[in-house]
Amino acid sequence: MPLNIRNILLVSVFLLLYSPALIANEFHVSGRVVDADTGEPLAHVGLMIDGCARGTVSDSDGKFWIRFPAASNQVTFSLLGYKPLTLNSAQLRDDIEIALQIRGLELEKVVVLGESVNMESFRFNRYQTGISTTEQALESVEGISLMRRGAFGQEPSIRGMNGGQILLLVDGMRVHGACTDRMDPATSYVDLDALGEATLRMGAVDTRDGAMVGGSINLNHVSQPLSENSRLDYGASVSYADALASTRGSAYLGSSSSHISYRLRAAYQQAGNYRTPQGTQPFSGHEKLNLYGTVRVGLTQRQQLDLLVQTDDAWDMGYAALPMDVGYARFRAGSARWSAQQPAHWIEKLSASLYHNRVDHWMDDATRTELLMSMHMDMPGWTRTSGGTIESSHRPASGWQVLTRLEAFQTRQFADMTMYPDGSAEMYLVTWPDVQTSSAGAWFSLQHQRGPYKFHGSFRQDYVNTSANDEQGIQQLRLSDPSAPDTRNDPLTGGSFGVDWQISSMIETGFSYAYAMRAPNSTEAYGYYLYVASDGFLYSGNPHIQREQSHQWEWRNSIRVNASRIDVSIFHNQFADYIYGQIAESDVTVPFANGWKQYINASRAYLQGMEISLLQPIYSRWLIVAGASLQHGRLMDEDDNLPNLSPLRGHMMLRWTGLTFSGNLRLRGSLERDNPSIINGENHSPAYAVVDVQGQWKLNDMLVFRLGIENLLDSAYQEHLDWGQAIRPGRTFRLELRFNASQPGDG
Amino acid sequence: MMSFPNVDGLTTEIETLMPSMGHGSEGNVAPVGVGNGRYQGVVGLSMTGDWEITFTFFDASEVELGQIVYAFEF
Repeated sequence: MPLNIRNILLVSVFLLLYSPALIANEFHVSGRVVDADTGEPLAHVGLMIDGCARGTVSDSDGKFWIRFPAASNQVTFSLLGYKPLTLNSAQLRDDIEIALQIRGLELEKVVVLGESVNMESFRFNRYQTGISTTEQALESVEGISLMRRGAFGQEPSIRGMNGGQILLLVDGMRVHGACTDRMDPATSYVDLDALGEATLRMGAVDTRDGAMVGGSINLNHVSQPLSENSRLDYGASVSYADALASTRGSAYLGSSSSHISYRLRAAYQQAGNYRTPQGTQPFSGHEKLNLYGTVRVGLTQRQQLDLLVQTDDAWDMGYAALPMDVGYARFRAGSARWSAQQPAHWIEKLSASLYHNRVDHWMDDATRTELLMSMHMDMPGWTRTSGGTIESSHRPASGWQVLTRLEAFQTRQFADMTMYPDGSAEMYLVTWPDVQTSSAGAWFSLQHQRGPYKFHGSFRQDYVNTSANDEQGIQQLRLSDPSAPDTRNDPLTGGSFGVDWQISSMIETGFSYAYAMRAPNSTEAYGYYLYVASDGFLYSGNPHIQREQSHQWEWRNSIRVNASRIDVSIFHNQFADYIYGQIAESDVTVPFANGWKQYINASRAYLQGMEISLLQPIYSRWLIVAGASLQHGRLMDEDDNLPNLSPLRGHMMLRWTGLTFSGNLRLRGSLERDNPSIINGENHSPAYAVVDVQGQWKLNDMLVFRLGIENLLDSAYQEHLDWGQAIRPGRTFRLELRFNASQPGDG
Repeated sequence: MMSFPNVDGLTTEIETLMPSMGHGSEGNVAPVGVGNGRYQGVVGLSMTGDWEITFTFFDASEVELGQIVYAFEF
């Protein structure tokens, strides 16, 4: 059922004709938004009505006027640098004054991806910054880069750290990709429109998501809120991008009442081989179907139960930078979360969750004619993960906050490889030897506000047991290392402390230190015969490898003048036992590879860098949003640079916001990379600059039309972390029509 | 009539090869004599498929006596 332009137009016409019938039963509210501390009016405050596309922004005097459908019951006010405020319709009246509290230095960034009502901030809102994909949204955050092997499943890197150094979670669940070549990060198993927000934690200061050294990304689905007034929400979107030969459509249905709500969503997308300024890129298309359903039950006034089921099926994904593609990738997950809130009680919030997820991945070269070693091969893999968490939040005294998170999970990972030579027997080996990881951990955090100072500290302890259970896989590893153990135990300890100081109403500064460790992942400990296309080496795991450790210092600053804000972070990470692939001596020469590598600990490595972001309103409707980041790191043992780092890279966006039309002009680019990691096969890569434009029209209260032109100048470019020779898509026209509606329910 | 007496005291080398992959394997231990013309060693086979093992024999003065190639499916 491929979508095409004709279908999109038909749906558009239908929606245009149908929508006026739904506009009824409304009221409107006017008021003013001010800074809670100074009383100064705040311009550009975003107002978003829960469950529909309608919204507005405050003018230069902080004034706003908004129409409200009777069925909606919440509006959220948000502005970068301020804590968002959500009010019920019952709390609203004309000439209301809304006071927003300044948001200080924070360790996490929340990227708003979907039609969430929690519009945390302007700068990280996909709808306000003209962003069309999850990857673009993540990449717009300073310090986040994507490692691209194809148009599908790009792998995030946080401050130059990736793979086993960072955690990717979906709704708080551990999700382990099933591809030994890391072609299916957890971020590839969600649909952009189904997500509400992504929480990004940079570095290891806040390790609530799990033991790691580099950071974490948690992708959260939109849930349907309970509502005193029962109501029905529904919507659909269709989009088309010409150079990507891609069409997508999605639809959702939600229902709320005071004690139960549900939301169902389906999204389908199809992409052909994309077009670059140099011609069509072979092996770059895919198809994908994503489904999710969530039910929320209000058990009592203060307790609720959330059930979430999600599936993602992608097939025929081309990986232009690799010699192989992916036949299918399947994700299945179910989770249940109980949560309770007791304001003023010593346990303010408490929640517990249980989950299970499974990933099945099939990599092959069935459609390729240029074959590695002139033979076809299949490389399937799977993972199964079950786990649970218990989280709590306490306020033992005024100015004190204690957060805890306990988690336990178990994962199994298996992958193998079958090769089919002409005229001789097929060959089979195990690449992940049924690795079972059992992990339990606890995280505690303490915060204390005392005058202009905020002190924070945290502690984390984990215990990780890993075993390789496949006999053939173990024997393979013991060919070169007869003493290779098939089990390992990794106790992991970490902690952090810091202080933020509000020097004046304009300047805030903060310093933090963190110590973190991580266990090697399955590939690093037990992987076997894994060909990495970026450097052409065959990698083997090392069951003796030590835990990687990192000492991290970070200095964060925020300067606010009226509505302008500049944030600067500078960090330095010192590694001990840094895990990397070292060229291994071997009598066995492999004609198709550059040689063998084995994971090993380096004694010394460091990584440092900075991120800077700027928000500058100009007059009442214009705004500049800009940011830049860079990383630099050395692996002293090899006298080489660390891999996957970005030189100075940035973006600048000029935005115009009106009542029915808003538009963005964005310039993004990077300097050349002149310090590549030689042992990882990186090269000097050239500077690039790309221009994007995007406009959004609110046709009426329910319909939004967007037109974007990505890579306006049709530049032929690669980002530095892209693999292989495949360049990114050329000039791309993207059309999108979104429809959201809300109606009072029967009750 | 030919006779095939047991020969002890030879040294050997072995090399493994997967012709389809163009490479051999690690974990090989050259056979050493255990008496009565028997030699015992270890081959490491890193995956299933068609393999070739090449045995090379040397006498006490390290003169190469010949090679035997044994091809089989593992």
